[in-house]
Amino acid sequence: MTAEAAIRAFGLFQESARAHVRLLPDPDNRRPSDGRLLVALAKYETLVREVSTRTEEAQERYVETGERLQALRAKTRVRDHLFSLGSQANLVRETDQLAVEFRWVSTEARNLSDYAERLTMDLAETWRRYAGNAATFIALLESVLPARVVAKGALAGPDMRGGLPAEIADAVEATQVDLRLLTANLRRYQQFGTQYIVCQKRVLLGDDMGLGKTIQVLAAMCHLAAQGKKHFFVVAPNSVLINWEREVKKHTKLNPIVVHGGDRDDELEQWQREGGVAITTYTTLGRLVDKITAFDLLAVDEAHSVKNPETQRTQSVVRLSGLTEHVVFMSGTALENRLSELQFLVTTVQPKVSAEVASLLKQVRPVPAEVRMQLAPVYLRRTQADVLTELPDLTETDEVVPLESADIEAYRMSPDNLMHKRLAATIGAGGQQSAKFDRLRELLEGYQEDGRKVAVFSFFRQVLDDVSTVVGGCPQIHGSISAEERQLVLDRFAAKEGFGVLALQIEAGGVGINLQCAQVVILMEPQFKPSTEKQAIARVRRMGQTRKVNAHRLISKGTVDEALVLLVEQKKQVFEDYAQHSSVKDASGMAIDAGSAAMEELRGIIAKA
Amino acid sequence: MQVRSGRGGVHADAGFASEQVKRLTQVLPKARAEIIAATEAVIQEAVLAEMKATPIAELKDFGASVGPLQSVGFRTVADLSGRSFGSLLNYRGSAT
Repeated sequence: MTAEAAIRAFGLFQESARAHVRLLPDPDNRRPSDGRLLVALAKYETLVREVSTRTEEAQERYVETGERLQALRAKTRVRDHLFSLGSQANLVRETDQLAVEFRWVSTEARNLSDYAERLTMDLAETWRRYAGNAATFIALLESVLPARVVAKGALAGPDMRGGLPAEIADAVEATQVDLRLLTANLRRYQQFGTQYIVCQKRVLLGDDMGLGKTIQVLAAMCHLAAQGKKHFFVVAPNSVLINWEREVKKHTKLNPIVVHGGDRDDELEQWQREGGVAITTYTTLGRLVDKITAFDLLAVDEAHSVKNPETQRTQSVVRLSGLTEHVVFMSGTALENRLSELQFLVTTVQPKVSAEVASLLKQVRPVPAEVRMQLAPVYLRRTQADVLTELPDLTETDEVVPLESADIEAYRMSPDNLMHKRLAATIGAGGQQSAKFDRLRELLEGYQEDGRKVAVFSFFRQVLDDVSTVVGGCPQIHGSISAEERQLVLDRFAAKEGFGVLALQIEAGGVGINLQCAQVVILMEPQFKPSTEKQAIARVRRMGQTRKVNAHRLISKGTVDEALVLLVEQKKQVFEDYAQHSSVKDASGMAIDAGSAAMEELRGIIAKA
Repeated sequence: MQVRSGRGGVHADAGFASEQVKRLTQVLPKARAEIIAATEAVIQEAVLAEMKATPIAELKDFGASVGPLQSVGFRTVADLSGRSFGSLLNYRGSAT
C-alpha cells in the first residue's frame, strides 16, 4: 500500500461525497453559504425579469442602427450624392437620426447595467420567499447550473428518462419544444416529460405524485399553442378544478375556461370560439361530450378513475380521446388493484399498442424487458427517488397503540362490518378518549412546540370532527365543501404562521392539492390502497418542500387496522413489481383479489371481533 | 464627405453604444456565474463537513490502507485534505 493509494482514495471519497450533496437550503438551519446562494438566485430571477427583454431590445436596436450606418456609408460613396444639396441634407438628417438612436441605446444599456450593479436582495426576505416557494428557486438553480454539476448528483437523480429504451429516449430528447408561452421554469426531467408528450403524442404520464405532472402537460399545451394550436381540454376530479384554473393562470399565457355548472354550455361555446384551456369534471363531461368536435390536446387528470370500461365517465373519456391527436392520461397510481387496469389505461390512450400488450400480459410470466419495450412508447414514469434527490428526508412511523378496556369493549360491540370496525378501532368508546386520540394529543403537543404545521388525514368525517375538537377547532377539507371553499381553506392554512392543524378526509384531500407548508402527516387509520396513503403523504412531501417530513400512521393493536396494514403491504408489492418499474416479475401474483391471504385475515379478524 | 451627427461624430456615438451594450450583455452571465460560484461554495462546505465527520478508516472502502495513516495520527478523512503525495511520504509507514 502506498501514499499514492491514500491520495487516490481521498480523491474518490471527495467525488463520492460531492455526488451526494443535496442542494436544498434548510430554512430552519440558515447557513451563510446557503443564504448567499439564495440571494444570487433571487438576484438572477429579478434580472431576468427586469433586464433580459430590454437587453434584447437594446442589442437589436444597436445592431439595426449599425446596419443602417453601414448602408449610409455606402451611400456617401456614390458620387451623385455629393453633387446634390438635397441629398446631402438628407444624409445629415439620417445621420442625426442614427446618432440619436445610438445615444438611446447607450443610455438604456448604461441604465440597465447600473441597475444590475446596484441591485441588492434582502437576505431575510429572500429566505422567506424561498420557504414559501422553494420549487421556483430549485428549478431556477437547475436551469443555471452546468450539466456537469447536475450530473454529478447535486440535483439530478439517477434516471430522468424513466428507464425508457435509448432509441425512444434519444428521440424524445431530440424533440424541440417551444416554451415561449410558459411562464414557469421547468426542471430538466419535466422538460423531458414535456418532450415525451409532444414526441409520442398519446401517453400515460405516470410520474410519482409531487413531481409536477400538471406543469409538464401545461408546457406541452404551450408548445402546441406556439405552433398555432388553440384548443386544449382538461378533465379532472371536481376537487381539483379550481387548482387547474389557477395553475394555467400562474404558469402559462393561455386562457383557462372552467366549463362547469349552469353556464357550462355557454362556457363550452366560448372555448370553441376563442380557444384556451377548457377545464371540466368527469361528471360534467358526460353532458358535454356530444357537443365537442375535434381539438388539439386532451389531458385526463387522475386517470386511474377511468379504469372501468363499463362506466359512463370512462366511455366519455374514450370518445373524447378519439377527437384529438394528443392525449395525456395523468396518474401516479396507474395500477391500483389489478394489472388489467393499467392495461386498460395504456391501450385506451394508445390503441396501437393494444394487441401487443394484451398478448404479452396474457402470458403467465411475461418477460419484463419485453413488457418494458412494449409500454415504453406510451408509459413514462419517474419516481421521486429518480429525479428529486434534493427532497428532504421522510420519516415514516407506525404508531401501534394498545386499546384500553373500554375501547376494546366498544370495538367488540360495534356492528360486524368493516367500516364500523375501522371507525371503532379509531374512536373507541368515543369522546376523543381512545388510545389513538391520546397518541394524537401527544404528537400534536410536540409539533406545537416545534411550530410545525400538521395535516391529519382520516377516511371518516366523525374522526375529523373529533380531531377538530381535540385541537379546539381546526379547518377541515372533506367531500362536502366546494372547490372554492377548499382553496380558501388551503390558502389560509398556508398563510398562517407557525403551528396549525388541518383535518382532511383522505379521499377528498389526498389528491390534487399541495400542502408543502406542512411538515407532518398523521394518518388516523390505515387505508385500503397503498396509493391513498402515499398520495396523502405526497401532498406534503413534494417538490418545493424544504423541511424534513414526518408521517405517522396510527394503528390500533389487535384490530382490523393490523390486517389492513398487511393488505396494503401486499398491494404495494404488486405496484413495485409492475407499475413502478414497468416490469413484470410474476403475472400470476399481480392481482389482489377477494381471495388473497390478507383479505382472508381481514375477514378472520372481523369474525373474531 | 464625412458623415457627422449634430453633436459630434456618429461613430463616436456608435462606439460608446457598443461599449455599453457589451457591458449590458455581461449582466446575466455574471449573475449566472455568481450562482455557480455560490453553489460550488455550498458543495465544498458540505464535502468538507462530510470529510470531517468520516473516520479515516472508511477510506478502506476506497482502496487505501488506513493503518499507517491512523498510526501517524490521522483521525478523519479531512486530515488528508491538502496533503500531497510527497508530504505523505514523510510519514513513516505510509509508504511501504
